[in-house]
This record gives sequence, C-alpha cells and structure tokens, in this order.
Amino acid sequence: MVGALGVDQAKLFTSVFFAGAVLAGLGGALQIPREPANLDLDLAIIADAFVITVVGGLGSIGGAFLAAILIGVAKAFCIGIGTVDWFGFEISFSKLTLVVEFLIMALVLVVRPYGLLGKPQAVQRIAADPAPPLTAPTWKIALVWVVILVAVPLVADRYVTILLTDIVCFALFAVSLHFIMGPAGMVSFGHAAYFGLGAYAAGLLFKQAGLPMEAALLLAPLCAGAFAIVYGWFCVRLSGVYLAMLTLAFAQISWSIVFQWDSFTGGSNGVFGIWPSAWLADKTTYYYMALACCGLGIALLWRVLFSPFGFTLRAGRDSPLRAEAIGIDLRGVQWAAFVLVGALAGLAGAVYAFSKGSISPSAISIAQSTDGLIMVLLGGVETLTGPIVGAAIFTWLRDEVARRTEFWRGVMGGVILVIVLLFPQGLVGGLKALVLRWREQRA
Amino acid sequence: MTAVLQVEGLHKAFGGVQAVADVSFAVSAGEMLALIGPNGAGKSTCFNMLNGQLAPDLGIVRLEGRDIVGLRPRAIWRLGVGRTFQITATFASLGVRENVQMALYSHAGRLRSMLQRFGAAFRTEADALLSQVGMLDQAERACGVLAYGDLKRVELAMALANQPRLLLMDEPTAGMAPKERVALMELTAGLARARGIAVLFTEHDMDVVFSQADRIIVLDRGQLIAGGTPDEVRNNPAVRAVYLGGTH
Ligand SMILES: Nc1ncnc2c1ncn2[C@@H]1O[C@H](COP(=O)(O)OP(=O)(O)OP(=O)(O)O)[C@@H](O)[C@H]1O
Ligand SMILES: [Mg+2]
Repeated sequence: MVGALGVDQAKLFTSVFFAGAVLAGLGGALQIPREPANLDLDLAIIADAFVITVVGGLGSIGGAFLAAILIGVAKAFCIGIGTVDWFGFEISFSKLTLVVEFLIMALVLVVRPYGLLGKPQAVQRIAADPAPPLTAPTWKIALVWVVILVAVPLVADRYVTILLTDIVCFALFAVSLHFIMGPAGMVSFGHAAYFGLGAYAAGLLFKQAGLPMEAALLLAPLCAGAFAIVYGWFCVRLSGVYLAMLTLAFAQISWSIVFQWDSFTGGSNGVFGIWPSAWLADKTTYYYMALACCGLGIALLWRVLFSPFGFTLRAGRDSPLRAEAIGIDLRGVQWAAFVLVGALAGLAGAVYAFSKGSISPSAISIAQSTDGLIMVLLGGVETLTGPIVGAAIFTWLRDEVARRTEFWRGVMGGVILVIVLLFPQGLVGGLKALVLRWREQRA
Repeated sequence: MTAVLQVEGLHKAFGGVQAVADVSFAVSAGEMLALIGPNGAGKSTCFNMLNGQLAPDLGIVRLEGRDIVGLRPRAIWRLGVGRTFQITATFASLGVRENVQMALYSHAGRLRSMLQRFGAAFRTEADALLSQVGMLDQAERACGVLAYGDLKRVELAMALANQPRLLLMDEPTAGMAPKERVALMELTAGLARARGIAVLFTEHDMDVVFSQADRIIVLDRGQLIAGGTPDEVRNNPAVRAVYLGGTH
C-alpha cells in the first residue's frame, strides 16, 4: 500500500532500521557505567526490550515509557526491600528481580490483552498468502527412514549414536513447537518451558520421589502437560505477539523458580545422577528407546494434524471469525492443542534428561526456546519434515562447530544466516520449491 | 406466517457514532428480506448483533421466540443461524470441499476426534451443497486461490451446512458478474421458499434487491426510514431522497 504511494520501502525500512540501531547503540553505551559490557547482554536486553514494548502496548510510545518506568521501579523495589518476614514466611524480594518483569508482563497481559496503552491489533493473516496445504510423508518414505535410523548404530561409532539420541529428542521438541506455531498458528517464544519441565519432572521424580526410571519417564510428560494446562489457559486468550510474549513470560517464571529453588531443584547446578535403568544403560539400547519414544511422539502429532481436531486448528488459524461462526469453540481447541504439545515436548525433555544423566536450568532458558525456533525456521515452517531436518542440522552443526573452534557461536550464527538468506522458506521448503521448478522445466 | 427472527429496538454506538438506533423488524419463514442503505448506514453492524458477534447496547433479538442476546456466535449457529460475511471469511489453506466439510463435521459434533482422518465423512453431503452453489468443479482447490465471487459461493454452502432456520447474508454477491448475482439470489430464494428458511440480506445491486426481495427495509445513518414491498419502497420519497437519489 505504501509502495503504491510512491515510497521506496527498502529505503524507508533501512533508514528506520538505522535510526533504531543508533538509538539502541546509544542506550547500550549510556548504560556501560551501570553494568560492564558482557556476552549475555544480547538475550537479556532483547527480552527486556520486548517485555517493555509489549507491556506498554505495541505501537504506543507512551505505553513503552510507562512500562519501562514501572518495571524499573519494581526491580529497584525488589532489591531495596530484600528479604522480609511475613507471617513466619521468609520472602526474598531480591530473588524476584530475575522475574519481576515477566511477572508484571503476565499480569498485565492477563488483565489487558493488548498491553497498558495498546489497541487491538488488526488481524493480519487474511491478506497474506495462505499456508500451503500440508502433506505427510508417505508410509514408504517414513519406513525407509526408520530402517536407516535403526541401522545407523550398527555401523557407526558410539559418538554418532549419542549425537543421534540428542537429535531425536530435539526433533520431537521442534516438531511439537512447529505443531503449535505452524498449523495451530500460536507462536511460542517459551517452548523450552515444557521441554525443561518435562526434563526436571523426570529428574525429580527419579531422585526426589525415588520412582523407577521407567515410571519417571512416563509421568514426566503428564507433569509438563499439567503446566501446559495452566499456562495454556491464559495464553489462548491472547493472539499474535502478545501470546508469544506470554509464553515467554511463563517460561521465564518457570526458569527462575527452578533456578532459585536450591533445596528442591538443585538451583543453578541442576539435578545430577539421573541415569536410565540397567537394561537401558547401553548407549545404543537407549538410543533405540529414545527413537521409539520420540518417533511415536512425532507420528502422533502428525496423525493429529490430519484428524478433525487438527483441521479445526488450521481452520481457526486461517479464520477465527469463520471458526466461531460454524460453532467451533476455538479457545477450547487451542487449549487442548497447547496441552498435547506441552506433554510431548515434556517427553522429549525427559528422554533427553536420562540420556545426559543430568539436567540444568539451561533446559528451560530463553536460549533453549530460541534454539527450538531456529530449528523450525531453519527447516521451514510450512512443511512437516522441516522441523526434523532443522533439528538434525542444528544439533549436528552445533556439535561439530563447538568441537572445532572457540568461536562456535559466531560460526553458527553465520551459517544460519547464510541458510536463511539462501532459503527464505527454510531448507525443506526451499528444496521443495527447487524440485518443483526443476520438474516444471522438464515438463 | 410466524416470525423466525424478531428484532425490537436495537441500538449500538461506537464511541460517538450511533451506528444503529432503534431498529425493529421481523423476518418470516421462507421470506427474503433485504436490508439496504448507503455505505456506513449500519447494515453490517446490525448483522453482527444478530449473530452474536457484537453485543447490542439495547434491544431484543428473538429467534423463534427465544431471546438470543448475549449468546456467543457459536451458540447462535447451533440454534440454526447461518451467516456469510461482507469480507469473506473462509479457511484459506483448506480445500473448498474441506471448508464445507468443516461445517458439516461441526454440525454433527464430530470435530473433537484426534485420531480419525478428516475428510472421509460427509463427502456426499458436501458435494451436494457445492453443486447447489455451482462450486463442485472447484471442490479440490484451496480457498486461498479462489476468485472473490467464488468465495462468496463457498460461504453460502457453509452457511447452509447446518440446515439453518435463518440465513444472514452480508453482500452475498459482491465480486460477481451481474448475471451471476441474480442467479445466486434466485437460488437462495428458491431454497428459502422450499425449506422455509428466513433470509435477511444486504445488497448494493438494486436489480438484485428489487427482483429477489419479498420485502425491503431501508437503513440510513443507523435508523430505519422505510419498509415495505419493493414497489412501496421504490416509490417512497424519503428513500429516493437519501438513497436512490444518491447512488442510482
Ligand atoms: N468496530 C467499529 N468501531 C467503530 N466504528 C465502527 C465499527 N464498526 C462500524 N463502525 C461504524 O459504524 C457505522 C456503520 O458501519 P457498518 O459497517 O455497519 O455500515 P454498513 O451499512 O455495513 O456499510 P457498508 O455498506 O459500507 O458495508 C460506520 O460509521 C462505521 O464507521
Ligand atoms: Mg457492511
């Protein structure tokens, strides 16, 4: 539209971007006396900035200002008050500084779904290209892959088997994230919550409750699902960026509880010594168990996508208005999807925890959530197999690069940038488009 | 004739704008009632209050005698109200047949299943509806690639899926060629009479309105200014002044 009015959009966006970068740089330089420059500044500050714009309401400068002051003051208060004794309970406010902004965001979004001063967003999806129809891999192709995956440990060494175990866990994690953000249309910035809570549930049921490993593994997804019931109930009431930010808030709240509850969760050290039962102790056997659990999880999610329930989710993403007008309780359906996906991400986390023998708070961190998003986007959101390919490549690449160079973060970032620039629809999406073009040329 | 829909004293304001003020009318089974008026008269706002999308500030909406104000759109749909939108709302990534099947599955209460495959049931029913509106040949295409007029047809097929008692059609023929418009509304009128469906529709094409409506009511700046048979409305001086004088 703006283009039709004769404005050069590329120039416009670039200059807006430039101005934004200058202001952000200035902000960063000004705060140096307060906190020295460090490597973790990126995610921390991105999270803060996002929280503030969302609490204020997207597009409202006054709102952002208000939110910044509100959160700044709240943080200062928490530090100032320190630990107080209320009715015999010791409450440490200084511990709250880690989450206070996310608590505020969760509260604000629950009460005011568009932030303090924001206005309801116009529904965007309608004009955009509709998502292409989904196709599941045929039985034959799936079978070939299963055979290959079963055969690998017979020929490859122990290292490859361990890497593959990681990959199948992350594949289920990525597929569950894709399910909720692609077909169901609810982008989650905090999907690691369910992965991490599943992992912690497995570890704690095993260590603290003394359950056998098999029981812990089966109950962990239910625990993650239980959290998804609570978190999801609030999240499905929002949409778009607000929904995404509320998922992030819940993830951060979970993370900080796990991080700070030393006596129960082991705090920043995490839980140690969570090893599988004797019959699964062998790495190859464990890999087969992981493959079975995660493979079934993925198969289940795909199956659900093509069921009436899955179609309802896609329908609700395409047009909430029409869904409601043909008698669909969209929130209820989305809530159920949230819980299903949370439980399966929890399963991925539990399998992962027992494969590593320990679990640390980083499994719930923003970084873990971002990794999931990268996996999905790397492979392509509009395809079913994309998230699996993305998970495989991401996990393998991280492992490969981290072993070879100290600068693995930079190298990873560069590689991902190149892939995204070359294949804007993700690897699988891009390959599909290439194959299609090649076929058309031959025809 | 019994009134399927009865509206009394409907009011709605947006901020300072009185979009709908004291609107009352009724539609009987098998009747085609046209609601006309210039742009911004409040027609869509009326529709949105009838199917529960908007809460009226004041007023009563009765469906077959039952007050439905305060019910959600999905509950009102279950009571037998089908609706098409001025700006079409279909499921763009799903196929045309699948869109209609969604409505049929929902009507049968079969959308909860997580393990069955969608699409096997209600195929013949969906195809029957699609052939009624002339969309059977495009049943396999995705709604996202259809021409606007064709989307309107899909919407009509979806609206008919729950065997409605009342059809609310907001500009059902926008985007169609003049001949197709009359044909589609003739089809609607035929269905309405055969099945005793009450139809309330808005339309900017006066040929369609005056040839297909049994009765016409005229809205201007939120208020009903005239109502009656097409001939009565055609000859009403107030209507000529605010409406036909301007655009026709
Ligand atoms: N959600 C809303 N918020 C504020 N004002 C609104 C809203 N919806 C409608 N209006 C206003 O109410 C009045 C009636 O609008 P409505 O869409 O009902 O008109 P209409 O008769 O359907 O017009 P058209 O023929 O263009 O479809 C207009 O002045 C419009 O600007
Ligand atoms: Mg309108």
